[in-house]
Amino acid sequence: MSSTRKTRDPVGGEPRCPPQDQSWKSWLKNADIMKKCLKVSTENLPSTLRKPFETILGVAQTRSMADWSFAPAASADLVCCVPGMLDADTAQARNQIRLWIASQSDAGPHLRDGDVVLAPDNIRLVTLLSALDMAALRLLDSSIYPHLNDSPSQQEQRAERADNRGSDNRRTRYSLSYWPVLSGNFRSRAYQNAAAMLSKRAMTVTELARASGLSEQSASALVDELARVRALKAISRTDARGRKPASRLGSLFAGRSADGSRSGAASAAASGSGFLGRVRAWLSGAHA
Amino acid sequence: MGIGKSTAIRTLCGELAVDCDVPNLDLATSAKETTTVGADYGVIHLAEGQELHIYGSPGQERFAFMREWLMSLAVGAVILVDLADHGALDSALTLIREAEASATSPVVAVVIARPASEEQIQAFAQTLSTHADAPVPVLSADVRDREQMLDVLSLLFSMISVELEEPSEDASHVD
Repeated sequence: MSSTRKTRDPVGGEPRCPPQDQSWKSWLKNADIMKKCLKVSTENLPSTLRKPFETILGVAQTRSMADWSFAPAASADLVCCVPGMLDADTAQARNQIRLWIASQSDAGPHLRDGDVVLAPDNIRLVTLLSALDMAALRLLDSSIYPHLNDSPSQQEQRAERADNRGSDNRRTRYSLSYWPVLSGNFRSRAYQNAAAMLSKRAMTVTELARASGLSEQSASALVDELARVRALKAISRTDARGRKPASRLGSLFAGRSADGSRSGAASAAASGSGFLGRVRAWLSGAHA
Repeated sequence: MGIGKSTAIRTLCGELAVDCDVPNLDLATSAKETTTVGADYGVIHLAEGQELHIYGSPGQERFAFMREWLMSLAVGAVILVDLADHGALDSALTLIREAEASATSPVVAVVIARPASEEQIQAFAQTLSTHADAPVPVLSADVRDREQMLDVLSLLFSMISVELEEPSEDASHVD
């Protein structure tokens, strides 16, 4: 498929598709669970177009599948531009999407993978929302246009994570926002089990490593991968505790301990651990 | 019906301790010769005389009483689905909610037991998480493959171990 068609047809081609029984609209709506902040720049637009465009953009910016905030062109994920603008083709980096305010024929020669076109005589809330959603989808789903995986917002987030990583391992708690289909080594049982643990409780990298048996480096790599596919959320300590209701599973183990005697809630976890230990031993033997 | 409950238990436990397969009279729904009524049951013998009991119960509404009872005693539940079935999402959600509402609130994993593309599985998992208000592990597995079923069991017990563990106290706020 040509890049032009990808740009012109938001629902065609290789981009991920919703299942047959689900519309694009509801699929995009589901993507709200991982609503992200992205940046848009209008500074390259001519002043006659800029003001009315910003007005309508102000209404649309929080209604899209991502939250859009205004930023300078150099640090924006989406740069609005018009054909003929000084150095429009070279000024912006490959990892930014350009929103061309132009007709398809005028924008055509300048288009590259990922660009979005909005006709100047059709700038309405609904068309702008559609253009913003299309851009957000392309920026947030790295499988569509891999080169956009390095957009300014994502670089910023990666740098932030790297900055925080040292002390983060003991401070930031992470949990899953949805279950991702992992690729490569992350499909292995050890990583899947660790990801499953994050679906039950928010944990720091250190806690995750301890609970899953992964090395801290591997647990950290998993956290990075989950963040890359946007399946991770960082949670404050208070939130993490508030969200996890007391487990009712312990009541099963509290009922009867391994030796058959009655035990209280206090020893439930210990009794459960003994049982889990035996299940783990059986699993490891069965795998062998 | 015909998703592979009995096969999954046989794969994990060897032979079933209790086999509730009866001749299938609903050939319009599935062409298989037999189907499970009530519950299948298999046992895994652990060290020190302990046992892990695995039950398989059909998802149809008429077996709800059986599921409720089984869920009330379960530490984990595996939901087998076929994504080609248009009701897969609703059925899975119903069963997840049944598990959440049961006395022990067992941990839940969903197993896609029929071939499906990664995109379908991803979209299903995301939609499931949205509607279930929590991420639910969604794995693709062939219920006839022992290694794959052991992986499912291993994942389930990883979640159970986290449920039983108390969170440590040394974390502080970062968002």
